[in-house]
Amino acid sequence: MKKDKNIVLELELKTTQVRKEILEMIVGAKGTHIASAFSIVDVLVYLYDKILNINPQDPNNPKRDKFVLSKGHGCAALYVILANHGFFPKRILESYCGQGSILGGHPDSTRIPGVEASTGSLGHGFSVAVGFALANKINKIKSKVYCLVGDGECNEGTIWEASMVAAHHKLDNLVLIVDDNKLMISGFAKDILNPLSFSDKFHAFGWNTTEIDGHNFSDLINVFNKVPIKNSKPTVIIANTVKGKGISYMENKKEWYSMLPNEEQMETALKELNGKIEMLKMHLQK
Amino acid sequence: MRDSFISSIYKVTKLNNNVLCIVGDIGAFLLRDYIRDFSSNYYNLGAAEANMVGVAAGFAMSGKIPFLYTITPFITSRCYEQIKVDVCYNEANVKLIGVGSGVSYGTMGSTHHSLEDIAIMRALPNMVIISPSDPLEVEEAVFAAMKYQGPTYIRLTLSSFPLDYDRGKFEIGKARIVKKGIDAAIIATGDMVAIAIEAAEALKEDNIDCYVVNMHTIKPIDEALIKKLSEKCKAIISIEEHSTIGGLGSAVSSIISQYPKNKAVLKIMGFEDVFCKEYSSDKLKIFEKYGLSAEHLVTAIRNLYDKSNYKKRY
Repeated sequence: MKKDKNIVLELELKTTQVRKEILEMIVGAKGTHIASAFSIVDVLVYLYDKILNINPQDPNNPKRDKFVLSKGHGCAALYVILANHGFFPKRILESYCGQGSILGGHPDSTRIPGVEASTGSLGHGFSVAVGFALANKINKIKSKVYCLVGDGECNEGTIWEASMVAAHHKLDNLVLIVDDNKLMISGFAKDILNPLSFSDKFHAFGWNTTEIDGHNFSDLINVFNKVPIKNSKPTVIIANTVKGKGISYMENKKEWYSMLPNEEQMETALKELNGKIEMLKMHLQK
Repeated sequence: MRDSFISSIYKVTKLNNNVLCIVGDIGAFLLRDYIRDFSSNYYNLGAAEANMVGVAAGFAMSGKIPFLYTITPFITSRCYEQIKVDVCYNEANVKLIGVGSGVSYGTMGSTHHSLEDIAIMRALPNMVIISPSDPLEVEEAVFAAMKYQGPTYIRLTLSSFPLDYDRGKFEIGKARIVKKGIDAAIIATGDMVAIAIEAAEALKEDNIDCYVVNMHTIKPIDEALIKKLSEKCKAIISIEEHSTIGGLGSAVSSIISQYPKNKAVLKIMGFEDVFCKEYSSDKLKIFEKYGLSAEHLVTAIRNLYDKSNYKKRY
């Protein structure tokens, strides 16, 4: 029991540290998309730490698991995690969005080790991920393909085209995560183009569906232990998340889609994150 | 050309099992032998072309060589951003095969025409564009595309009879000289090569000796040959079953207009910024209507040739 609790505490510590690194990286570069990166941190940290069968020393191994970040604007989270796992030196994070950097505001697969597909324009990465999963089937490779899309991204028609193909070809080696943070650029998704129930939609498209709290590690551990389900269907995890998760004044606020904190706000943010880091370290020492 | 693609894809798959034939719900009858013999290389991903291109990029990045086959507008303009991002930006080894290019679907109307495809595909970094002029060249193009590592677009038109000339080896980016000349050069692509040959023959009566160039690769274009012709000939005429904006003519123009040794005037023939609103099962009638028949070409060259002589006198 205590061991389980420690695992969760360790993951929470890690995700808080990752959030701090993301914040410092984006603010340092005068970049953007802090809140979009924050809503996916927990899912990504869990995937890269516990689930994906990958080797930074051999990033092109054909038998590796693949993760595609279809909502490319959340890439700051991916960059920090890839660097933490040794896909490229951590100092490269300092060059983020600068001249000559390999790390731009959206990920480029041809230049960043560990990035499986270039994304940025919405509704692209998922189709590519379906191609990866189909290729694994015909190449008789047992590895899995994971893809994360945003809830706003599901406005794009290609998401549903790809969903049909995945179900039709029985891609039970494919797991889709919908980062359902409920917010788009101009406001709440329900007020812009109401997605209604993602679970119902994917169910109707022939998928296994499951819904979790995307910031709760008990949920994440539980669900990723079960998926992909070997029943000839692809699986979707609807991860209920909070945009800007981890910094109180950013959470659930559409303005923070692209805003950068001023000095005072930055201080508050770091105080909150550092406070949480200290608290988690203390709990872990007990 | 379509039948030639069908037999060529069979041959390349037999040679290389990584080749896949992916269709957007067309050609099932024509491809019946392929489907029978290579069932695991064949995918019909439905009438959802944007996703089809993305999936193909995933295949290509997993070591496969997907050939995507459907009607030209649906594999070019409809899914343009997927071609840009998923294929070209990712440097994915995807082959796009457009069937019935230009106004080949003569009775179907503008939704099924493609008079802008070369223009938009030319603008994409990493994209190779091949526009074969006869069935044999389709086969050569398909084999070349299979061996070439990188995004490739093959633009199939209708021509079903083989052109008779000493064609030599097919090489991506190296134009074929169908006929040598002195005075003028016709640079043609696709079905227009046959029309160019006919026009050059007719111009013999005027003592105008024309080069006929089969520009089967539009990107990378044979810059060296175009430069050479621009030094040698007084007039260059490009002709294509495509808009005059952004296609073969634009490619030729951008080379010679920046070439200090250029001596040729250029005439770009194609569809002049219009939708083709003529219906006919005989494509030649459509060409006639839009000023793209052999006769039109002859007249254009006569005019140009007179003008360039005129210039020469002063």
